[in-house]
Amino acid sequence: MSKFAKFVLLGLALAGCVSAPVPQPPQSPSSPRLTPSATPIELSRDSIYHLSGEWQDHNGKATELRRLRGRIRILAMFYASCKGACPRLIQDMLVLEKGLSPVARARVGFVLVTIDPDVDSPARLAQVAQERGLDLQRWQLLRGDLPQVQDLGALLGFRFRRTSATDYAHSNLISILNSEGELIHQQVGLGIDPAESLAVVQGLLEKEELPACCRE
Amino acid sequence: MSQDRLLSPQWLSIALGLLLIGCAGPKPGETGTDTPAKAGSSAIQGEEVAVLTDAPNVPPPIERKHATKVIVNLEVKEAEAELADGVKYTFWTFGGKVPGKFIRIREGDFVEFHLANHPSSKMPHNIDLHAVTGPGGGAHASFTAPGHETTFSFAAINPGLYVYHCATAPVGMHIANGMYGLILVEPKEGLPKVDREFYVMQSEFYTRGDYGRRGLQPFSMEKAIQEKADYVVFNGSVGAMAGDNAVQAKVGETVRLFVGNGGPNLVSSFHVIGEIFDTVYSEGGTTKNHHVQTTLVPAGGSAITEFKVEVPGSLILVDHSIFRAFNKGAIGMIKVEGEENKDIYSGKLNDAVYHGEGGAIQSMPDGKAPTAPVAKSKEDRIRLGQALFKQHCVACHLDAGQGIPNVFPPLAKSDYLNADPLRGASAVVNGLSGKVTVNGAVYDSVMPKLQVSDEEAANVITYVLNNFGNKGGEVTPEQVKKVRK
Amino acid sequence: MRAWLWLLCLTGLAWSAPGLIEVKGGRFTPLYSLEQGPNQQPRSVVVKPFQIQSKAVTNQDYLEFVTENPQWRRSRVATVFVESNYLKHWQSDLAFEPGLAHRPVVFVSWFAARAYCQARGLRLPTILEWEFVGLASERHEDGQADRDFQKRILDWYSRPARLDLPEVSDTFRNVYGVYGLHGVIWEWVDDFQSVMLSGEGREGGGLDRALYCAAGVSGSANPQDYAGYMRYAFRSSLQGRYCLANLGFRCAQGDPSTKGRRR
Repeated sequence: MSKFAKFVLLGLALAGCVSAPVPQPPQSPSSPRLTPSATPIELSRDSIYHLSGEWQDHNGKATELRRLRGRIRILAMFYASCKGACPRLIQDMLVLEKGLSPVARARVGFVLVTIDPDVDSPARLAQVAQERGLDLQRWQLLRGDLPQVQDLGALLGFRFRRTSATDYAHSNLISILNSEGELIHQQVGLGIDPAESLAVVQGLLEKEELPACCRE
Repeated sequence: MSQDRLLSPQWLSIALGLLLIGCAGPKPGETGTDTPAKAGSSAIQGEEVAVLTDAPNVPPPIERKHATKVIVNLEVKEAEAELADGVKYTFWTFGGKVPGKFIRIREGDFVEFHLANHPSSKMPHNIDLHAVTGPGGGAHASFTAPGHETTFSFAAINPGLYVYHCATAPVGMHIANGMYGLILVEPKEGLPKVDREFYVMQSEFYTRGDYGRRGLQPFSMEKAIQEKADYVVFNGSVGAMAGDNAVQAKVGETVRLFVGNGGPNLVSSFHVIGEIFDTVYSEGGTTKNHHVQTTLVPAGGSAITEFKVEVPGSLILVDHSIFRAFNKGAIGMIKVEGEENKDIYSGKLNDAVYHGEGGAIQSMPDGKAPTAPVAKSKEDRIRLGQALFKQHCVACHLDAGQGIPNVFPPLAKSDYLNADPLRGASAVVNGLSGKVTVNGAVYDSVMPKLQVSDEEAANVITYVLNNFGNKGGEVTPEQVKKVRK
Repeated sequence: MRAWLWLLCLTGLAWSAPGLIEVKGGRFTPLYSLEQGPNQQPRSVVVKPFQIQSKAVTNQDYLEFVTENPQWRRSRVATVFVESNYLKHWQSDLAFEPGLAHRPVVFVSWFAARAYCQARGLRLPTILEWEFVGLASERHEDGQADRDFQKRILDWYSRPARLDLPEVSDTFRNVYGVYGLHGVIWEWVDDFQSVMLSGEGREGGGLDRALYCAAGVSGSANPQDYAGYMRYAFRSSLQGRYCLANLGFRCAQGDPSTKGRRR
């Protein structure tokens, strides 16, 4: 190669280096960004579904939180090997499910999100659903990477940390989201009387029957 | 913003959830009492916002004969104010002052408590009211970050005079900085009518400098642990209830004192010089004692004292652990006006010479606080500067002023300092960053500015000039003031 | 020839990395630990070597971020990620008083801080990393025994939040060369949610069983570490959306996993 060409190459290479932007990571699934809205109505600015990122459900199918939009959701974070609190938490959610009228039940979805993604594979989640007899027409179990789990937890005020190789200390929290994904109510603790939460769900169902113009 | 409103029902639900947990039943160790539902039940009528007052004032007695829902709005604020003459302290307060606001409710009331933490606060805070039956006395539910507000509710099941205080870790420090007050739960039948009611709260303060040392004094954790109080005061500062700040009464009136002790450590031997307590509600409960001279007020506890003032003059409130009164500030005053009553107290009747055996003349120490020492000579400066040097400079420049090569310049035989001592003064009061050459070596570091007065800076520089092989000389506060940015 | 070009490229890229300082890591016992020994005392952990920014993120830095990322501008951000006082001290989406440029940015939420760090190819430091590098005084990597240093930290905590924060270079510098870890602002950490103190200072760790499912009450390592207590108490009072007057952040990178060891 001629000297001139080498110089040109060097110059181009240097120009390339000097103008190199601050390193951008590959689009990380957990960075919360406003993704362009697929539906005509823009997602409420208070919605939890602004969290983008890829999740898998109990069938191993890829999904996003945005897919939960359009239905009232009762959601809790848990992990499959949890011996004490999580089984009781799921029980509390089943109590809520039973407490709804059949008409209401058809309009409400139940979601369990694992905080132990390395251990709780989709297959393991499917196993939990089977063990507890969860009606998969209404129930979804989700798995996402740790940064996404942290993001979701932070939005719900859910706190957790590892206490050993297999266990976690975590909040006992059941969250009720409206169909826009806005956090409306939380049931804190275990074995709580479902009446208040059921009243909240009932209120949401009634409100969402109103045409969009006349809701708050 | 809708999201902020959104969170409030969420927190209220959490708080109510907590309340339900707390009220699940008597815990081990607790004697079973009436369940809260019974006390508060159908009797609640209406709603009102509590009137809160600063010491020494007390909200008016409760007239209503039924329980109600009371809304209490209390704001936590960290604020600098005067602890004694020339002595400033950063108080952490409930309601802007120490002690915190006086809350007055009635047995059976249902309280909705809003605790706000001012955005300028550095710390999160919460509240433990000794009147609350529930986890932490409300502390769990009221844990509040700066710039936020939390809400919780409780039923006032027990009557009595109760202390409240902050219970955020480290608890001792939060209390020591002034986070306490009183909440009175009047019994259903009310308290007997009196002419005057006052709020008096004793507490201690632990400062880095000794009693009277001027300037902004930081809290001293060491002294607090050793229970070596520098200040023992009524109502948050020396003289808060004395002189012009004394409270008033008239001859023939009945007076009731709601006395609290925020601690954090010391028990009070509460006494009013010139009076006897006709009635004492021991420890703020319902047991009455009569004809009491001095009553104990536990740390984190209270007492109610009642007496009738019979003669004019000044009644002096003290903690009868007497050095606290005369040397640390535990003095308050009630000025009583009206007609003399020679049958009860005549004053001095006669003064005659008495020839006794021996007997030295006793002199009463006067109660004025000593003022901070000011250097009157170069020797003074050097002496005062030595303590400051140990406190502020040794960490980086080391105890022989040798500094650390390439990191912190030496003060010993320092050509930089000796050529112009005011450069040293400027470094102390303004900080210094960037390259400096000292004794032939270049240093490029950061010296933060020290929170010292002109006097203190002059003293420490003069000390350094006259030690470690430096040339001697003196720097005055006026010179320091000129270089201060 | 090619190797030389690559070297130039790499040097260029490294130079544009935002002020990271290498911290060589080591063993220490944090005030509250992930795991406990038999008497519920926290176990010591080994923090792996990591890098942390020498200075807190400034208003100028943050302005570059929101210029590049309009979805994080004050008027457009999803309100689920920030409180209403997000960047309250700025005059508008992209403007603030010139004097603020080199002062730490505050009124930013955890979500915002995380997004900033990610955009720079970094992350927030973990609690253990922060506490580890925060041990250092001006002269020593472990300043715990230095009572004067501990006193100065406590002094700062006892003063109310200053609205006039110092410039990031004009602050306390520790032996690693990291500025302003004490005495300026509180700082976000990646795993603030793992602190679950009830806020109740008297339960020695305070995990309320009905609120939290946990193996037992966690004790703390050093009851004398008052500054540590305050930092943990502060972290446990936070929610991810909070934007506070004296809470900012800096970024880090490295392997955040730590190792414990049976005593």
